Amino acid sequence: MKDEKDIIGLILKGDSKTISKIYQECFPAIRQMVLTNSGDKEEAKDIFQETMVVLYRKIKNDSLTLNCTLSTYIYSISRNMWLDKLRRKGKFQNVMQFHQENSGPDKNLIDLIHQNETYALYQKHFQRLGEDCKKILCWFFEGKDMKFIAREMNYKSEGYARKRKFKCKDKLIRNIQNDPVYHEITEGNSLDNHTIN
Amino acid sequence: MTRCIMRSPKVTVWTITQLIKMEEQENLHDQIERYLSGEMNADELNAFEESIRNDRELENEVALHREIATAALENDVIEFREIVNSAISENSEEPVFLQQNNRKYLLIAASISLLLLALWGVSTQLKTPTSQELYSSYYEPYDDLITGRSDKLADERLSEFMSFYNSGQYDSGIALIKEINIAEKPLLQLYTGICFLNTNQFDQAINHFTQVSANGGMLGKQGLWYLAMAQLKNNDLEKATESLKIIISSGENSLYNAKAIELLEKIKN
Repeated sequence: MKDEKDIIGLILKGDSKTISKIYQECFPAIRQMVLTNSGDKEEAKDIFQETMVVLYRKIKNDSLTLNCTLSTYIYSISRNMWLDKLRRKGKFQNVMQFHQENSGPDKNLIDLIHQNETYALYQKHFQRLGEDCKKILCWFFEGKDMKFIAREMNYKSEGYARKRKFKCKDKLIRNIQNDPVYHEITEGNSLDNHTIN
Repeated sequence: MTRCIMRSPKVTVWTITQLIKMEEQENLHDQIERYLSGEMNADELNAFEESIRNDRELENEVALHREIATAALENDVIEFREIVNSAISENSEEPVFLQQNNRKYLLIAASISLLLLALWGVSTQLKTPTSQELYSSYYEPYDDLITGRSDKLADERLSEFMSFYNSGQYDSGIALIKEINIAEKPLLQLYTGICFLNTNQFDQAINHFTQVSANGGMLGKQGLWYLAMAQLKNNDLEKATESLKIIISSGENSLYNAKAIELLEKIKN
């Protein structure tokens, strides 16, 4: 890899060539780690994808402190993420073995991994809503009032806009709550409080 | 609706159940949104925070509302994830079954899928829609013609009723409208009938729509149309057909005529 400061800047810009190079360099080790610890190749790809998003979040929040090479750090995020998934899946034996071979998880990083996973789930369901619902909810979340939404959507009344907003939001919430991953995350996080601390 | 996120102690489950029962889902959303946007006064805020402290489900629900608002606006993260996903796809090798030169199996699978799709399409076309399906296709609540007209809102309860109507809280609307005199007020009778229709109280709904249509005037057609809707939802195709025929027999070139002709055709088929 070239100068890591440049690479970090390019990641923040979403430079696809840089991300491709990181994939080529880092993915083989991540795949190996997942495959030898109860996972498959698709899970390894998911881990790489979300590792990059966690990295992006850290760069964006200006909270990235590198005490090692960037590729080692990327591997470290992936390892913690996979360890966390294994723990949630109840594969304690694997976790114990895995844990003995590696240093313990970084609590701040684990928190960020949890937050990222939760947000990824919300974003997946948000993206699946109809275009009108997405528009209405974005405006609502941005703080636009019902008068604005009714005007932009050509609705006859603010009351109708309010009703549409409620239905869209209710659908989004129901879809999230009905997703097994949501239960895995919420139940897993409460499990964390007993296992990590 | 599945609301339970985590099992909570008995007392906290009871609290949220009570909340839902009293305020209904939309009202709960409204309270959470007012809480998150800092619109609650000190008393409301204290009471709501006390509820959150004692109710794990409510706490989770509030967190969910807060977090989805933040997550949905993370356009940069969503775009970044797509870029990473594209990089993974571009750099991944071809699927194994294609590498093995087994494309003919893929073609066979595709042919079977197309055949099944065609059969499904034919069966769907042949299927006659039920009265419930027709109702779902044609029913929509009558537009609010009251809110925004200050002269109509002298009675505050009426404003509240329309708010319940617009937000789909039909039970609350019915409870409130009983306190208001709606005799000789066909528009209010129409909205009341729609509240009854949405709560499946068909006799009451039909009674109100019949009054609206008997009154004639500008809302006569609307009364007949919603009467047909109530009969359709109540699986009374014969009476729905009669109501639609009355609309059509007027011979007027109106929206309700066109919809009645179209719906009657579907009922006959």
